[in-house]
Amino acid sequence: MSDVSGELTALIRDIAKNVDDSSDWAPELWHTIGELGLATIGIPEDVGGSGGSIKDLMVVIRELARAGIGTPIVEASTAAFVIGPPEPDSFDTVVVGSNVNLGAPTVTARLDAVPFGSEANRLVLVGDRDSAEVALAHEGVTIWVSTDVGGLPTGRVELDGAQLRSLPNAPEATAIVERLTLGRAASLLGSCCGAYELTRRYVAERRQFGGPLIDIPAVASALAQMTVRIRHAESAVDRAIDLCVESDVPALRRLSAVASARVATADCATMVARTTHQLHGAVGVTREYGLHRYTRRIWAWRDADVSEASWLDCLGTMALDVDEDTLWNQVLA
Amino acid sequence: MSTVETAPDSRSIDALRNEVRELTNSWLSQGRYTPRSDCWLRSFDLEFSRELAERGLVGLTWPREFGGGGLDARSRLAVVEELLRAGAPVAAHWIGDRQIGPTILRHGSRDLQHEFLPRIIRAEVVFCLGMSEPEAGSDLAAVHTVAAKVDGGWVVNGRKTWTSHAHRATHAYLLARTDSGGRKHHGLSEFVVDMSSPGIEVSPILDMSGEHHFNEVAFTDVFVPEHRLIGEVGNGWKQVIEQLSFERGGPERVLSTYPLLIAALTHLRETDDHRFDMEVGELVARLATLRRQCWNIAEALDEGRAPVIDAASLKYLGTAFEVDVIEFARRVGLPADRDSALAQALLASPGFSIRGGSSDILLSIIAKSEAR
Repeated sequence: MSDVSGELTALIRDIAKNVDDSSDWAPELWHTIGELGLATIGIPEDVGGSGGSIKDLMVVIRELARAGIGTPIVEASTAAFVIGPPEPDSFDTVVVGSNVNLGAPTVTARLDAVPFGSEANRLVLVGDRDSAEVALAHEGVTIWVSTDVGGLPTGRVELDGAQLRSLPNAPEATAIVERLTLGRAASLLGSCCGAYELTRRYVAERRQFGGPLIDIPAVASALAQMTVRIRHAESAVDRAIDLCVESDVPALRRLSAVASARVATADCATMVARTTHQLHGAVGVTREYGLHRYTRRIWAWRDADVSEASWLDCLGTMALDVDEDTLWNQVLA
Repeated sequence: MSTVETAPDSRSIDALRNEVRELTNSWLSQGRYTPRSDCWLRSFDLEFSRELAERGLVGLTWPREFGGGGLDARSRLAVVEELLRAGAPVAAHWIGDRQIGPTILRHGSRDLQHEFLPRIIRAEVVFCLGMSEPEAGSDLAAVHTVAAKVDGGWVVNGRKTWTSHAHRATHAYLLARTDSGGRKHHGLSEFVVDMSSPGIEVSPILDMSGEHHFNEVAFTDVFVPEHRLIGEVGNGWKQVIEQLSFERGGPERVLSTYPLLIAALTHLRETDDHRFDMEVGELVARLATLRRQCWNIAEALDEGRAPVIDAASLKYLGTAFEVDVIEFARRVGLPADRDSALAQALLASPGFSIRGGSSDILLSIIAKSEAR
């Protein structure tokens, strides 16, 4: 761990101490995170960001999830990457892969799941090639407020002749998708770590049949299987981060590494959610106990933005489209 | 050493990869080998190993003093990955290069190092592993084979089993009990045994595919000279655990069925079959990540760390991947007749998660480290 990532981790653990468990979404806490500039890490200071690398940003994202804090950090940091830091006391959100004509001056469309659509200021729409922005608190925009399975705000957004501002100077669409996807993978990894650590403590303390649960071989084995899978998911995320930071990485290699990290973390998370609940028994399903702050978010995030299944399909297509040499040297490297 | 720094230092990882690639391609185009799954155990061709050796690709990480490449673990990883990728016939030098050379380097006397390292590097000697016994599989501390001290050396009596390529090996690594008095983890020692010594009898054990690589090796009053002891008397347990811990973390725990994976992908491409795209995606993500884990382990070794749990984790997940590839190839519809690549891999597959410490035992090692 670098010094910076150590400091960031400590900072977030500090923030986590003030978490109020009573609600899933804590706007005040998010406000604090915004004030600390954590959502604009990875954006240069000369354009109003907090500086630092994408690696640092991923530490923040992972640690927030690991602390069980639900925030729009992934959406907000990606939106800031596209349109710059948010206006004071606000944040922006992002949707990728929408079938909206981003070249037109206005837009009429229905977007079924816009994360934090009811809370965000601006919405960044990312298409196959380009991107555009819509001001959400504006004429022609109707938002149907809802929450996702993790308890975080989401919304159906209906755009009826809403103003669309095209973003010719924005980063390439692929780069935006990669950052969003990498952030999602990091948050899934953080949730896995948090759920695992909580469970490990629980089975070491909870006594049944005359000893701690961890003394039961099947329990110890379930823990070991989780740690092996989490280690694997972490390697997938580290690899993708490295390839996003390195220069001159071929596009296929970078995108496939991000996709691999995304599916590896989602797959691991599914297993971790199931196993941590199993090991906790009934207490794990209560509102009062904190496990659901990990597992419900795992269930929401594994299919957020672009579903796990779509990424699997996309990765499979990438692999089948190239010869063995390219597969080995890029997709598998 | 006052030798002039020569080419090996400047061999970049990419250059090493290309060098291996050129060699395997040239052998392939001349029809000198057929790529196959599990090549590192089952594809034995001393001539190929010697050609690798001539190019300085055996003993790549060992000191130049012995004729080694003096390169790091990551360079060796690149070479080994390319060999497995090509399904090349590497079994003849595999055990010496991966495992016994490094053990001799870590624990052997100077004499033993000078006697064996250059010969492994030139692929002159072929090693087999005298570890498992009828009553000691994953539980190696249960070894019964005895090495009794006599004048000028040791006399070995006992039986070893699952000894791959003992019928072709010039030498055996041997784990034997030198002191039966204390606890079972104490009193073990390691030796190099000349396979031409009187009193060694090798009997084949055919595996379920009908192939002969396994053997049982009986030792009856086999004399092993003093200087063939590896390391310290009675320190064998610690030494062998080290040997196994590092040996687990290599790419042969991931890539044993890579040639079959490529055959399945080629089949899907040629038949324009997209029913399995998601499965391909899943396998590709796993393999890319497992390769990264291999790299992390090599990096840790280069930094002087002992990534024991990482290696156990890699082997646990990697061998599961190898088997999943076979099931994938089956669903895709590759031919499955007795001599097919699919059947070959399938018949070899139960061994993947057993050799080098079975998955169940690995999981318990990991569980113990988590419970701490």
